[in-house]
Amino acid sequence: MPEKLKILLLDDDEDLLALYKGLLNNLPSKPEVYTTTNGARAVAMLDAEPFSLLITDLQMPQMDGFQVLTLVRRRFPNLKIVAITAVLDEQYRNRAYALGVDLCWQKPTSEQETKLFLECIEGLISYESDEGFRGIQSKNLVDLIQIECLCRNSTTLKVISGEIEGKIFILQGEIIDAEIGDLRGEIAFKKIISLKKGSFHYLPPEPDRERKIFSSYNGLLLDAAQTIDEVKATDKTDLPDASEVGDRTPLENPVTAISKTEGVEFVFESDETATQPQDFYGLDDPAAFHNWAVNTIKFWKDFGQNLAIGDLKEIIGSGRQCKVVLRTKENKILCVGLSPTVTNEILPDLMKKIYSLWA
Amino acid sequence: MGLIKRKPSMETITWEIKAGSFNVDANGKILSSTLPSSVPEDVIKKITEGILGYFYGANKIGLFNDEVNISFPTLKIFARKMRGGALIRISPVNPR
Repeated sequence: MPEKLKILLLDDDEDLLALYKGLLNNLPSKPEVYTTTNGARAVAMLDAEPFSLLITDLQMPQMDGFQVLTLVRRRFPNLKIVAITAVLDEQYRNRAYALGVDLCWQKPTSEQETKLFLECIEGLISYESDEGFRGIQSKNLVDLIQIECLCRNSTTLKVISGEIEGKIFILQGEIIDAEIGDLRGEIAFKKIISLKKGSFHYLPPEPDRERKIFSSYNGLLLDAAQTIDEVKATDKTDLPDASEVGDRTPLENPVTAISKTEGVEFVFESDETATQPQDFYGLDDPAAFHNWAVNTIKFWKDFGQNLAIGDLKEIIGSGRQCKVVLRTKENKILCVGLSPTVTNEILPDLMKKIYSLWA
Repeated sequence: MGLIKRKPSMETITWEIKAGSFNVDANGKILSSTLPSSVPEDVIKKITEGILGYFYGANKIGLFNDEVNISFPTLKIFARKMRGGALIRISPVNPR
């Protein structure tokens, strides 16, 4: 919270500005209140110094409130905004909230309404949330995405958390892709969802973007809820370090890290001498997979040694349901099941990444 | 590259890996082959055993693979499931 709370009031009616300024000056938090009748001037003032809150009229000549909102929300994602209007209809309200205002109020016309309005303003400027995404107060990212998908909207949701930036691409209510750092697709989506706080912007949709997420948004959000629970349970630092995006975190074991790689459906790590996998993900019957993998690897290792053709490098099986890759290192076995959408073209790069996580 | 040395008991057999394919039925019987005669018969039998074993084992645990690639530093084996049997191709990694 800034040392002194500052409010910027924007309205084309100077009498109203004077009235509101007087009222806001008397709030318990004793904010500094600045006024302007011009949208462009308001943006310049916001540029010049930090404000806690912008209160703007929606109907103004020249640059109207919606134009100001569009500009301000993009440039100052953390600024709290209250829109006020003389005539509040549903369309106005929806449009204002879609642009990311925190509150949309009809200009108070009675003492009771004025009191309520001031209480809301005081609550808003005094409220400093530890979690939640700025733009729609108290909504977490899952809520935001759900709203966009339910409304079958097309948009790009840009999420900023510290130095980390991620994007979620939504097209006609379907999540088609996500990106954060060098990650793409579902793994990027999960990474973004796991961010605990930050701000967001709505960017124009990208209809030509290649679709990399094919799961329904409901399924993704259910997974996301699990991810959020896991993040809370581990009680790690608020934000993943920017350097760890795309890499294994120090706390993760290789199987967990590999399981988060896009396209991985199951994975297990075994020891050739063990009877059960040491660690696995996405398998109903890990023992059966372990036995098959151990026997397969043993056969082909012996084959290579008997014919002196070198050590077995890799076995890649494929079918309509999935691809499976077996690799051995000393006595360790790694078995990775991949989605059939993983093409032979991207397989080598994907496996390089997976092996680096296993190393 | 391209040379396979085999040591059955004390004897060393050296043969040049040349690309070629062969078809086997579900029992491992060779139905047709374009492999050169330099490829020892027991090597072919061992490859066949491994490939059919792979498909059988994968099928048993629900993987239903119908293709497999097995890579060694000097040899690659590719196999495709064919009506219970398999079409198998072997090729040197760095053909001369």
